[in-house]
Amino acid sequence: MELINYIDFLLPRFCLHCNIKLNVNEKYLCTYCSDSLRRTNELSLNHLNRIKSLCDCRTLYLFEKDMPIQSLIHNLKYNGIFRIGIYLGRTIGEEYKNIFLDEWHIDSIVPVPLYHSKQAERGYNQSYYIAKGIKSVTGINVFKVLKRIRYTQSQTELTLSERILNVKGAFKIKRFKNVKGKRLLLVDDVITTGSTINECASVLLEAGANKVYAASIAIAGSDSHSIESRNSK
Amino acid sequence: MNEYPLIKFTIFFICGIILESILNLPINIIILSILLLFVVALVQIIRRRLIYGNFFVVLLIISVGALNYAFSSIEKVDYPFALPKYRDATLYGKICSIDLIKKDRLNFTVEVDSIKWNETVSKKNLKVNCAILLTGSDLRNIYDKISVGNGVCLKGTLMKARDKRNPGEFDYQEYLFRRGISALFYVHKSDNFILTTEGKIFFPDMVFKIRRSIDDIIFNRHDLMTASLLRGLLLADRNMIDYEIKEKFINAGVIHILAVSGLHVGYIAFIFFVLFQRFNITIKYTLTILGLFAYLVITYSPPSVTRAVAMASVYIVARYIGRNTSTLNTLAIAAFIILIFKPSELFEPGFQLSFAAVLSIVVLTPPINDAITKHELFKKRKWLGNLLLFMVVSLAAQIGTLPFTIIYFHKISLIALFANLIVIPLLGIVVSLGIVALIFSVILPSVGSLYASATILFSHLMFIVTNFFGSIEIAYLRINQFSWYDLFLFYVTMIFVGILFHYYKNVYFRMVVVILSMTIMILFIKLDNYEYFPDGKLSIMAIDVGQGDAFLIRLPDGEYMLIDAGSSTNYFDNGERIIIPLMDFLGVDSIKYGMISHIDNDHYGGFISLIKEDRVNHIFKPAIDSSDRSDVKLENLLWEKGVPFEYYEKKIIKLLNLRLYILNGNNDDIIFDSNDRSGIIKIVYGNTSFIFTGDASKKIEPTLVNRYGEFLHSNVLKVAHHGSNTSTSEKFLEYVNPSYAIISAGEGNHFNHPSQEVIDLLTKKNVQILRTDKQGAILLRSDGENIEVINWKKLESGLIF
Repeated sequence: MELINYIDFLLPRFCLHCNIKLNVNEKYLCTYCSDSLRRTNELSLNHLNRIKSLCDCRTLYLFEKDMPIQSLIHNLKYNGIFRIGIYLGRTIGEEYKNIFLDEWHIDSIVPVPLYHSKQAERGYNQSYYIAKGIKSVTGINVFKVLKRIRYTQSQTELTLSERILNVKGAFKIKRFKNVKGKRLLLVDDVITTGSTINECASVLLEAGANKVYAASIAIAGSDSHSIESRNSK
Repeated sequence: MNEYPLIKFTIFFICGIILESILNLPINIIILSILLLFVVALVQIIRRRLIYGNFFVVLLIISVGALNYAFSSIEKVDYPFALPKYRDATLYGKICSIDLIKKDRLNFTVEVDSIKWNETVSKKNLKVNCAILLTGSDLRNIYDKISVGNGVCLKGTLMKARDKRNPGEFDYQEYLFRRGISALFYVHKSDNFILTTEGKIFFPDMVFKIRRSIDDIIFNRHDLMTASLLRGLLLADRNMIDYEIKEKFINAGVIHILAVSGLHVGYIAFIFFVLFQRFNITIKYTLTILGLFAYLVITYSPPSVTRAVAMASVYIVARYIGRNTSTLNTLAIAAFIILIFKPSELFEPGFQLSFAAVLSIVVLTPPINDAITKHELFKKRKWLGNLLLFMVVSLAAQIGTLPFTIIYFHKISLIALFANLIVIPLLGIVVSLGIVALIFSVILPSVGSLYASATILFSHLMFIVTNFFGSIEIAYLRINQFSWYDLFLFYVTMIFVGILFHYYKNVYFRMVVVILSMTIMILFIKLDNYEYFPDGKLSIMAIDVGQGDAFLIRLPDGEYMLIDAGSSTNYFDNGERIIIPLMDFLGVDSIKYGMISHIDNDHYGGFISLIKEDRVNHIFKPAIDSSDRSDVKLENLLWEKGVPFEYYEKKIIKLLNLRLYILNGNNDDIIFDSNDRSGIIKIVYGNTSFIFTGDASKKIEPTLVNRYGEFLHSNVLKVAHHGSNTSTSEKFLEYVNPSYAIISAGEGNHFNHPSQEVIDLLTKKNVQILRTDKQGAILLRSDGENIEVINWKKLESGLIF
C-alpha cells in the first residue's frame, strides 16, 4: 500500500458515478461501475475511416450518456480532477503500448490544445494530462506543437457539418521543428465525429508531419448520422 | 458523515480534551491507560477473538486527545511573585512580539531575563505583557524604533492581571495565562524605555514590519473610525474600536463581523486565484496556499483565520489530488489540525464561535433551503425565496452560536436577522474596497485614495446601520447565569430534535416535539441558576472597584441602593466598565437611592456614567462645597439630567421593616476636610445592622461617639477610608463593636491601604475581616436575624464543573 493511500482517512474517495465509498484498490470508479464501462470494437471506429488525414486511431471506451464513462469525462473536464487524465492516459498507454511503439513507431505525442481563455477558466488542458499519462508508460515525449488561435464554440450542440466549419482554421503550428518528418500521436478526451482531430491532423500534415495517428479515452456514437439526427430534433 | 472517518475521530478527540480538562489526570496515568488498552486488545487479537473492537478504538482516541491536552497544559503559567503590584521595578528582557499602536498605549510582549525591585533580583523565565502609556510623538518614536528581538530595559510597574473580581466578569488573568503570559508591566515615561541590544529575530520582525506598514497605510488613508474598523477587519486587531461601538455591534447581533473569518479569507483566496490565473495548476494552487498562509501569519493567526485558512487549504489540496470533500469533513480536518498543535484553543471563544457557526450552517442550511425552494409560495415570488435563503444562512449561524454568545456576551440579539441582512452585504463591500484601496495605495496612491473615500463612505453607512439597530430598546434580551452545563443541554436538545425531525415527517408531531423539548430545556437551564439577591432579604455586595468604594444593596422590598461607585479616570471608568455591566448581569435596571458619601473621585467618579445613562433615580450627597470644582460640575450634571438630589441631613428613612439612618448633616460644625464630610449611614434590618462610614477620619469619630454612643453598635462595619490608619480609632471600634469588617481597597494600591495598624486592631477585637483587595467582590446577606457571608465564586462556577 502506498503512503498516499493513508490520505483516504482524511479525504476518502467516492465513486464518481454512483458515489459509494471506494476501497484502496479502486480508482475513481467502484468495481461495479468500472466493469460496466464498454470497450470499443472495430465497428465503433468505422465512421472514422472517412478521415483521410488520419492513418489510424485507438480509443478505450464507448461514450454513453448517463453512464460511468460520462461521469469520468465530466469530472475530468469540468470538476478540476485532472488526475483522471493521467490515470486514463496510463491505461491507454498500457493497453496500446506495443501498437504505439512497434507498429506505429510514434515519435512524439501531441495533445489537442484548448483556447487560452478556456484553459485559464478550466485551469488546465485535459488532453495534456492524458498525453502525460501515455508518456509515463510508453516513454514517448509530449510536445505541445499545436495552438488554438480562435475561440470555438462547444461542439456538443452542433451537427457534423457545423462541427467541421466550427473548427476550420482554428489551429496553428507553434514549433515546426518538432513536426517535420515525424510520426505523431494526437490525443483528445472524446472523439465524436472526428472533426477536431481531422482539422488538427491536416494542419500537422501540412506542416510536414510524416504520419498522424490518434488516441482518445472515448468515442461517441457508432455512426455520425445518429448524432446528426439527434441534434436536428 | 459515516463515510468520513475523520469526523468521528475528531469528535472523540475533542471529547478526550474536554474530559482531561475536567478531570486533570496526570500524564503517566493516561499513558498507562493507553498501554493497558493496547495490551487488552493485543491479548484479544492473539486469542483471535476481538470483541468490542470499535469500543477500544474509541477509548484509544479519547485517551490520545486527553494525552495531547495534558502535554500542552504542562506549560501553563502563573503569577510567580508574592505581592500583586511592584512599583519602580526594572525589567530586562527581549521583545518577542509587538502589537499595533493604540491611541494612548503601545503593547508588546517581553521574554524576561530578570526583574529587579528594591534590592531583590528575580531571574524567572516568564513572559510579560508590557504597555507604554504615552501619547503623541513620544509613543510614535518608540513604535518606529523597536523591532522584535530587541533587548530592552524597562522601568515601571509590575503587576498581576485582573482576575475575576465581580460576578459575571471576564477573567483576564486566566486568558493571559492560557497564552503563556504571567504578568503585566506598565511604563509611564519615555525615558523609562531603553533599548539595550539591537538584535532582531528575522521572521517575526518582518511580520511585524509588514503589519505596521499596512496599518500605517490604512490610518493615513482613512478617518479614525474607518481605520479602526479596517484594522479589525484586515489585520484582526480590533482593540482600536471603541467599547461603545462594540456594545452596539453586540446588541445588533453583528459582532461576529468584526472577527476576521471565512469571508475575508475567501476574498484573499479569490484575489490570488485571479492573480495567478494564467499559471499552471500546480503553481496556481501552491501560490494561493502560500498567499493564504502569509495572510494567516500577518494577522497573528487568531482562531477564526486559522480555521478559514485551514479549510481553504484542505479544499485546494483535495482538489489538487483529485478528491471531492464535504464541508463537514473539511471542517473536521481543520479542527483536528488546530487541536493537535494547540488543544487549549478548544477553550478560546474565537475557536468555539467560529466552528459552531460553520458547523451549524453546514448542518442546518440544506434542509431549510430544501423546504423553502419546494414551497409553493416561493416558486411564484422568487425574490422572496432568495431573501429568505440569504437569511437562512444567518439564522443557522445564529442558532449554532447562540449558547456561546449568551455565555460570552450575556445577550441575545432579537433583531440580528434583520441587522445581518443589511450589515453583511455592507461588510462585503467594505472589506473588498478596503483591500483594493490598500493595493492601490501601494502602486497608485491617487487611485488608492479614491477607493479609500469609498471605503469610508460604506463603513460609515455600516456604523450608522449598526448604531440604529443596536440602539433600539428591545434589540436584545439579557440572559445571565447561562452555564456550560446549560450549553451542553442546548446542544443535546438540538441534536435530539434533529434526529426526531429526520425520522418523523408529520408536521403536528414535529410541532409537539419542538414545544415539548423547548419547555424541558428551559426548565433544566433554569435549574442551576442562582439568585444573587433573593426576595425578602437584605443583600449587600461590596463591589471590587479597585481603590475606591462601591456597595450595591438590595433592600428587602426589592429596591436598590448604591453607596459610592468607585473612581473614573481617562483609562478606566468604573461606572461604565464595572458597575453598569454588573447591574445588567444582576438584572438591576435602576438604583432608587444613590448615596455619594463625599466628593472624592474614588467614591463619586463612577456615578457620572450612571447619571448619564439614567440609572439613578435619586441622589444623596454632602452639602455643596462651591470651592470644589468637581462638586459644582456634578451638581450641574444632576440639574441638567433632572435627577433629584438632597444633602445629608440627620434623618430616618423608614422602608417597611428596614430603617435607614443618616447620622450627620450639613448644619454640623463647619468642616473643611472633604473626607470628614462623608455621609455616615446606618442600616438596621431586624436584629442586624450595618454602618457605612465613607472616608470619615479619627477627627470626626469622637463627635459620633459623643452624639450616638451605644447606637453606633453594628454587626457589620464598613471600615472608613479603605482601612487607612487615619480612621478607625480604638474607641470608635469599641462602640461599634462589629462582627464583620469590610475593607474596600485596591489590590496593591499605592496608599498602602489598609494599614497594618487597623488590621491588627480589628484582629485584636476579634472581628472577621473581609477585604475586596484579597477576595474580590464580597456578598453579605441578612434575613433580619443572622448575617451570612456568601462565596459567590463557588456558586458561579456551576454545579458540574
